[in-house]
Amino acid sequence: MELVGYAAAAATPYNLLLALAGVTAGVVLGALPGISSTFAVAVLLPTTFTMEPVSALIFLGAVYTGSTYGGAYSAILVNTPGTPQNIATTFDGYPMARRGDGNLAITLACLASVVGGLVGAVALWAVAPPLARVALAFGPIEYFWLAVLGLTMIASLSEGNLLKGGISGCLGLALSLVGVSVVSGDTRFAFDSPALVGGINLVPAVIGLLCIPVLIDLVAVPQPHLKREGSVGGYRLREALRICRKSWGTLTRGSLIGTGIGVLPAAGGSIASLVAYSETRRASSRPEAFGTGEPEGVLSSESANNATVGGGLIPTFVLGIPGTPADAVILGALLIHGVRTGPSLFTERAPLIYTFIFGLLIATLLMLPVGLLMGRYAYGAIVSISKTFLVPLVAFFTIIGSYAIHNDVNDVVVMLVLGVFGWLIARVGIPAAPMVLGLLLGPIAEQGFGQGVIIGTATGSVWAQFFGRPIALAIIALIVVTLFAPYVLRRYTRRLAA
Amino acid sequence: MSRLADVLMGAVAAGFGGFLMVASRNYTDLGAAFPRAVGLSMIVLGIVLVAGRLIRWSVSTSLPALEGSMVRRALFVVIIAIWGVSLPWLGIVLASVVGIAGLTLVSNFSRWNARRILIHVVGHAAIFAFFYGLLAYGLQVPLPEGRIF
Repeated sequence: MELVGYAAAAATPYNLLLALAGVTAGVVLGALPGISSTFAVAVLLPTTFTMEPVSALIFLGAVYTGSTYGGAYSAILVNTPGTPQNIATTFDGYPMARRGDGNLAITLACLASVVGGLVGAVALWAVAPPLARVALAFGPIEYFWLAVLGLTMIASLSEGNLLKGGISGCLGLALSLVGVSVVSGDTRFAFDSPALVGGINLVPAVIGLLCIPVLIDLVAVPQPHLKREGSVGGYRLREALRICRKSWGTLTRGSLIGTGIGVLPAAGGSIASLVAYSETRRASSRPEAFGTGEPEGVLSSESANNATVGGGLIPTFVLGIPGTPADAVILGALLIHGVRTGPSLFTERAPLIYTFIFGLLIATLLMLPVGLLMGRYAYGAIVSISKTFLVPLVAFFTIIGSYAIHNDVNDVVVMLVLGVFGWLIARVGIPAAPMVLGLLLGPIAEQGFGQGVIIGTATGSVWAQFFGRPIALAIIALIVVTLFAPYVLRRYTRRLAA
Repeated sequence: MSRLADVLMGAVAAGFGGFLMVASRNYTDLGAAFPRAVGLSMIVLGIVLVAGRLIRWSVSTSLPALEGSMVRRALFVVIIAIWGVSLPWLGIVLASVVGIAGLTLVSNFSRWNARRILIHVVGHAAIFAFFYGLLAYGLQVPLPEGRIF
């Protein structure tokens, strides 16, 4: 009965309006390359100061979930992830758009985001305290192995050439070494350049590696940017629903992976979507289709990144440890409104928390009409727009998106240099995606590794640290299974067929 | 060509891995461990790539064909570089005017006439004004102000 009261409190006209406004603003901001979910939530935080705490939370949660989905627009239509959470969406979303299925890809992304968002929010409602305890059990060693698990994805991003994919992944790891080491304090590979001491920022690097090569090729030929198949106005909702019904396993997997990884502090939506993409490809009966415009690639990535919204709020509420950077801003909002987080939050402030969870569920459902409507216009605009408008506009966002991170022109230079480098290596068959993965996971892997070595040395056994902890062993087992299971299964299937 | 490219790429990767290992000698043990691991991986991958290509020299792999104008590609890179590097001096407005005008010309494949020019000038001005307003005033993103102007 209490739950009905919370649901009714979340569904007041004022809260519904805030949820709608939050989702709309989030989708718009998330679609702009360089404007991350964290930025979107942070920039709209001051507007909530005069609101009731629950209304403020609903608004910020709606912005967060909307921006996570909004990043899919630019990922699908111009190969530039609007937020880092949408990196994996580019792998199949952009090829879909190029062959004329951009509207289908956007509708799939919307449906997957709604499913993922709902699963994450339900997890926040149903299993927050036990999941938060699991997150607490994750130490540096577990993060190290988690990063290694993510790096095994290089195999799935290598477009048929594991060696070249491996080289690309190592280049990404090498890029992540630039700057001051968080483990040892050494300044590495900065070549006495103050611009490099702070390291290579992820956002300019991703924009450079994924977007600039597309623009370089776009200006060289007179053909239009995206293939136009029939009317651009349709949602292709029925087709998308049919694909979703057929791929319910992918949606479930992506949503659960997103929730699970979202619970781990500092792991975030980008890693969740990459891991979900990789696992979906591994589980697929036709893994070779991934990277060429496979709808399941979009479904896995988008369901996972939106599931991290609810998942990331679990440690934020229960432990006071933000699951993602955007959660840190929401944590700040809670403190501003005088709400103290902790294990007792779900009992002492039950009306606030459960009303917010219902509000988040409502905002996620509102994303369906808002996302579909805005996606339709975004697709129509990008397909119809002339190259002489599209190229300068996208270039403007690559420059501002890179610059705005630190207000530093060096980030623009890094973006351009990596963009040209990404184009050059693509000419010799080296994909840029594994490099992005290496850059993303390198710091997590190194920090976990370094801290693990320090703890192991202090306790007298480094090996026991890395191979003696139950969760670490479970992740290692998962790594082994994910690496070798496809080969074993393929051989078994061949033998059966013979 | 692709075979030779593979061999060269493998050699460059192995060489870069060697550089990482040599350079990491200047760092503390903890700071050097990860660069060494990455360097070693690159050396192994590079050698395997070179050896594999030399052993299977007759097997040809196809690389994506290069279509379109290299001059336009080069101009695009130059314009983006000028646009980005000039931001602190010219400021966002003037640098963007130069950049947008340059990229509009580079990405154009149709004949210009007075009507098209007018459409592009008005269209770009409206789009830029909208996003400038959104970023600078709506979102309070600190955009670069020029030192010269």
